[in-house]
Amino acid sequence: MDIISARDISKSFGKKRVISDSTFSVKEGSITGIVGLNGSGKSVLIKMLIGFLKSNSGRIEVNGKIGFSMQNNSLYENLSVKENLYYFARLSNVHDKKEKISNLLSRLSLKDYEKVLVKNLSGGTKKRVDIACSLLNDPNILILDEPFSGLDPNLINEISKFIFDINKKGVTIILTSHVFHELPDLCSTGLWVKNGQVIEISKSEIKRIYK
Amino acid sequence: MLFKSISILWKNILVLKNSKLSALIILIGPVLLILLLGLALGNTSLKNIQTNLYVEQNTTFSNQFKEELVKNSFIIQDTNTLEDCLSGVRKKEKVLCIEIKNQSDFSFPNLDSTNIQVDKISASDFQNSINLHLDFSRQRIVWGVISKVDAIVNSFSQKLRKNALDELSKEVLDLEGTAKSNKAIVKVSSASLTNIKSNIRNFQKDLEEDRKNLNNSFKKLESSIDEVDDLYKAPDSIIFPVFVAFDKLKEGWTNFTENQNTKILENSNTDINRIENNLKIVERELSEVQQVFEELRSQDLDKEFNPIPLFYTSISEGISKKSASQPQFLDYLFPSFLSLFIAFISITLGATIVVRERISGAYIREIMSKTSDFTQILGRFLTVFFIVLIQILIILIISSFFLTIPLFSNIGSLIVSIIVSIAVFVSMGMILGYIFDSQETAILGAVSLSILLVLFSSLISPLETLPDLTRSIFSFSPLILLEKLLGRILLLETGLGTKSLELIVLGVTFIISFIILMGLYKIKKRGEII
Repeated sequence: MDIISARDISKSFGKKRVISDSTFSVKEGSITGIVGLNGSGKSVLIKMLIGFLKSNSGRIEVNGKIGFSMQNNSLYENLSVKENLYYFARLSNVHDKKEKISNLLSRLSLKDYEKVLVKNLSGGTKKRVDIACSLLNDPNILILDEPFSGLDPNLINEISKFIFDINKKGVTIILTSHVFHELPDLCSTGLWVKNGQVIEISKSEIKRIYK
Repeated sequence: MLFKSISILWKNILVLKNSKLSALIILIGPVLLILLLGLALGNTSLKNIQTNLYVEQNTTFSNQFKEELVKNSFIIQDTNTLEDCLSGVRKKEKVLCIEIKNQSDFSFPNLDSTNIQVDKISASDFQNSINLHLDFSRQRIVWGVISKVDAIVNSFSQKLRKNALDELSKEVLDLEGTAKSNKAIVKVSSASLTNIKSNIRNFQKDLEEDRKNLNNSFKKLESSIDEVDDLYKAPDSIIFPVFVAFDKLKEGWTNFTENQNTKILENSNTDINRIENNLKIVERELSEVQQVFEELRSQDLDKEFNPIPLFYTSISEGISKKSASQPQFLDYLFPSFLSLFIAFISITLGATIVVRERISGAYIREIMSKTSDFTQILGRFLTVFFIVLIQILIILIISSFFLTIPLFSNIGSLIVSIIVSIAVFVSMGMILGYIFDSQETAILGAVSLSILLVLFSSLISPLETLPDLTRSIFSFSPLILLEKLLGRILLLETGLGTKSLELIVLGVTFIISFIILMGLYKIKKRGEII
């Protein structure tokens, strides 16, 4: 079942056409990697999927709630982990905040850090906190823009495992990454942004493209 | 090392060049400020001084004085009572209240000892005194206004003084002349009296001589009669009447010489002595008068004589909480200081908090959360609002211990004014936060706006010193409106009353600022997502 389906979407900035007349879909429960060269329009596509940007033409249908985590962590550095989670939970009208936050902290192994200021956390832990914030409103689609950016191989592994875990719990994952060797292993399917076109590709095709 | 330093310098210049708004602020900012400063301080003469005038009794002087005020850029509004006159200043609608008082008991100072009556010299001209009721919180213009009125009063005083002193000199000269001629007459009279006295003395001597001669003659006559009687034994019927007649004659003579003449002469002598003494007194007094005239001539009456006394009093007199003490310099300055603090802190904090949020990574999550734009703006607005409010409360509480004015006597009006003004300045600061994209430029923008407001506030260039167009624009400056409000509440204790134009304008400014803020937020939000 398609959880996201896009039909004939296009996006231009002035005279520059970034996405043109593309039709694609994302399967429920999949981990979909968006691949493409730098400046090909991956981030624009992600922002269109999240709803930050409206397409000039065409239509995107999303069957579920979206959570997102951008390349730069969307956290308040001078708030503790718990304070950040509570703040965003309140903004997102999350019910049973206490229970949900407690679950998220346990699930993402953040219990020990709940009172630590975000600015004092490592890059990987920060990313986990950021993803925890994305999961506050129980999304069934999680969009991650460059989740491995700035992380060392150990942390990349940690986050990869974490993404798998979330996916196992039924959350569809869409992500971009320039860490090429991780993406083919992680993703079950892909979207290739090439010359303004978004093309659906299989896991093997992702591997081929990265090779 | 120098090469690397130059490289860093060049890099920073390039960064600035590429950030167009920063470059614009850095280069155009000082130019704009200098232009504004020139505009503000280029012509500092006072203009359009809103003035209430209360005249106790209309006179030629009061009418001429009023005309002169109008000629000197005072905008005059006549009032029927002194209370109406003062009320305009208390409400901060007017800069001052001029009271022209009639003082019928007024006389020349310093000249009373001479007993010269002023009435002789157009007394009505000297029956006015001028009292200026001023709002001393307007430190920047209050002395200018006093000096301006003083110059006008002086020009009148000078005319009056010249006329009066000319008249007085003439009178003094006349009196001095009269005194001199009177003294001469007294001298002549004294001399005549001396002559009379000497004549009387001679007459007395002659009379004594005559009396002695006559006495001798009487004695001779008596002895002759006795001899005739002894010699001729004349019958009693003949000689007796002769004796009787002789006795009567002698008695009459004795009476004449001993009683009448002596008494008359003695009385005359006494009278003459008295007159002589009186004349001496008159002469001495005339000499004293002459001496006073001499002294008067040596005095600089032009300086000492002030025909139209000018007084000035503070409109805030009597509001001090400490009995028998008047508001001090700091008290007068406090409303302006508080206004400045509210404006500066609100604008700067409003701008920096918005920029800090915008450059924070978490901002995008906030934007995309299930939170309306209004809620987002309101949340940020309230953050700054309460921070500034707490700061202002701390300042007020601490100030209440060392200021002589009662800060909380109009607490309702004070709170309303502070709340509305903080709201206005915070909105303005937040607008800057959304206009500028970096913390540095936002702070620079906030400081520039604050300087602009201060530049055109009563502390540096009051409205009365500005050209017409600039004045009409800056009369809506929130800082000026707030200064007026706080001055009224804290110094003049008039409160807001049922309708306060300043508060209404501030309220409207807040609504407009908030609408602009919302619009700007929506525009910037779109840009930030892209």
